[in-house]
Amino acid sequence: MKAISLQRILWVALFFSCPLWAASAIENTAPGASDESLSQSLLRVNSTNQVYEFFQPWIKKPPFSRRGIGALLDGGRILVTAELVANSTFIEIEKPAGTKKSSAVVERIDYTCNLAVLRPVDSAFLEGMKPLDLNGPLRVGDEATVLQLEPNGDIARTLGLITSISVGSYPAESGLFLLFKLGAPLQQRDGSFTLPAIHKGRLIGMVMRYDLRNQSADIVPTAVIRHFLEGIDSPAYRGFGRLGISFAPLRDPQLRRFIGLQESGGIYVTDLAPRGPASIAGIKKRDVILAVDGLPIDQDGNYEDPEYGRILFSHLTNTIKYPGDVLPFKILRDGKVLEIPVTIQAADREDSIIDEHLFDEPPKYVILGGLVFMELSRPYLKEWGAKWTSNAPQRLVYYDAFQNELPADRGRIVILSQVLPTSDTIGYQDLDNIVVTKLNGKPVKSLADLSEAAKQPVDGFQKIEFEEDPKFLILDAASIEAHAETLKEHYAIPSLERL
Amino acid sequence: MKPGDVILKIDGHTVSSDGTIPLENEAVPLDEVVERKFKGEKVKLDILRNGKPSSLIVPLNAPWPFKLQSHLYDEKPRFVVFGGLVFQPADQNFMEAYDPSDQRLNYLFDYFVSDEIHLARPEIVVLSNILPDPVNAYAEEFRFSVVDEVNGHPIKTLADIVKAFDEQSDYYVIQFAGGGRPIVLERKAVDEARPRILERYAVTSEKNLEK
Repeated sequence: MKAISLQRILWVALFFSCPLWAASAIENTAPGASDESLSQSLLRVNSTNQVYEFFQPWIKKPPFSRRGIGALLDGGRILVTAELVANSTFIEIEKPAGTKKSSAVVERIDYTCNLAVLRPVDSAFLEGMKPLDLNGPLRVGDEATVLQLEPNGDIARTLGLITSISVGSYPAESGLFLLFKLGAPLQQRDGSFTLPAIHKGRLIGMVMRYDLRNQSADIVPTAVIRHFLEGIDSPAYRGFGRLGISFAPLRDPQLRRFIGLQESGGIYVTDLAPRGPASIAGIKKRDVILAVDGLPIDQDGNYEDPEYGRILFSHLTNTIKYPGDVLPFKILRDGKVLEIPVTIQAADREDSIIDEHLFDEPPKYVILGGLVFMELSRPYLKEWGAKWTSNAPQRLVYYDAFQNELPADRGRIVILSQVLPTSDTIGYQDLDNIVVTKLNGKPVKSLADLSEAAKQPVDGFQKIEFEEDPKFLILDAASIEAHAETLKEHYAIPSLERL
Repeated sequence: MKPGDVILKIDGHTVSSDGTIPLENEAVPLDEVVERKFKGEKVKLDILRNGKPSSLIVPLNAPWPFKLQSHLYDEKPRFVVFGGLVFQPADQNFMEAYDPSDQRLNYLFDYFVSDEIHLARPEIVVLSNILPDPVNAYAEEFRFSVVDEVNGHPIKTLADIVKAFDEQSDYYVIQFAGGGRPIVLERKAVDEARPRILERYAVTSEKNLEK
């Protein structure tokens, strides 16, 4: 009896699975989906990257290489993650099969969205290749396939399911963007996880990170890719906007009653970047944001997106809208409802006190008699390793974390990074990572200020003042001058200044 | 004394350029002179200021605010419990017991003396613990935050926060350093929660202000 019923179940199962199998076979023969056709849209990308040694800013660290797979798009653009080619010194592209290689250059890179577009140096290199089309929005539960390449050029497909669609942090940590998570058991094949993901033969995004333990891939979706590409196509690259706002959810009913918040929803503004768009528009700490562009914001900061459902409103302001767009904000302040128009702007480095990242550029420094001065930056702090927030000097970490609270005219934070022992710096070798306030009586708000002030010693001395002990120190200007060449020679420093 | 003064002698011992003095045929750090004295005694410094020699008598008084960063023995922890929220002043014992990762608290503690934080804030009052109850359901994210104000009153010592909570008010608005969202506790809710919290967490005393 038992055997018969099992057989019956098997038959039923086979019967039902047949049409499905047939359907998927048809799908695979759809244009752009076959292995042969897909491999005409993929390129291996090998990037040699080299970053500066922030504790010896005149040298670079040893080079390392990253490999990933780029997706060919319309217009001969090869899409990769920005991380793959960050600080690149040489980029090489290669077709999946065959041995043809070409070097490539970065046409445009944007670290905020972690995307870059490459172009082969040899324009004929892409002949006969087919660009991939971009797919529309997906939903949680949809299937997607991550593409990798075998050494022989065959495509290795890994099928997965979209497990979440949210707005989250990207590697550059500047702004929140739409993020797909794909559950898929990826193998480490190409040295990095810069890999295209497709759905029915169309690109749905680029994998940028992979969590081996949870078998979950983070994907930059087409919504973000489209914004990036449209930015490139406009006369001046527009980039991604940001508001310069931090907020807290308004879930606590006691807080809601205290504020006098009748409606549901709303978020509480906790911090503003001093020169950010929201601050310039007149939004203040302790305001409650009720709606953006006419769309109600719920108590967690989500709005109803027509394509992706309830997601963080940063997707609207950072990705759907462009820098220059004006969005009305509905605000509750002191019991009154106001409407404040906010002009979205791309992040401007000049507005920040501390650089969040320094990709593709050397760090600035000035060396005076063996004292090494630098501007405080996040990459500098990250030299203390993964636990830099605990291990780096706490004053510098504090400046980085709470830079919004510094006075508006604070300028850059110039530090004495270290002291190279020389005859001019005897007794000062143990000083490091202290904040400079003045040189020769002139306020130091950038390395350029410091370099300028060093040209005018007072009574033959360079007097450097600090925020903390030893409050100040004094060097003999003529002696520094006389020893400059020896210092360069002994420590193999090509130049005592790079601004 | 002023920054820029040069110490030439301490209690008659000549100070070398590396900050040591000859004592019992050995070069020892000049602190040694102070360490051998008792609270209330004096030390004489011969100094050079703007090129002119002069001398100073420095009375050795209580070492506050340095005491905040030194190990303390035989002292009872001081605290206040309000609405299930535990507030404590940060000191070395506190930092060792909790090892908090809050960046602002770590900065205020580490630079309490050198950045003269003690002048504006003689004590760093911290939300150290939360005894979970519906009244404080949304307070968890504020653990180890430093209290700035309660109902607009600046909180510079633990005694200040006790006073602020003793005041009659419909709402208690606790604002933390950095100006994020406040914790708001309704008087009614705090009163209702009080016996429940005391019993559930076996709280024998709601405050201790004595060392």
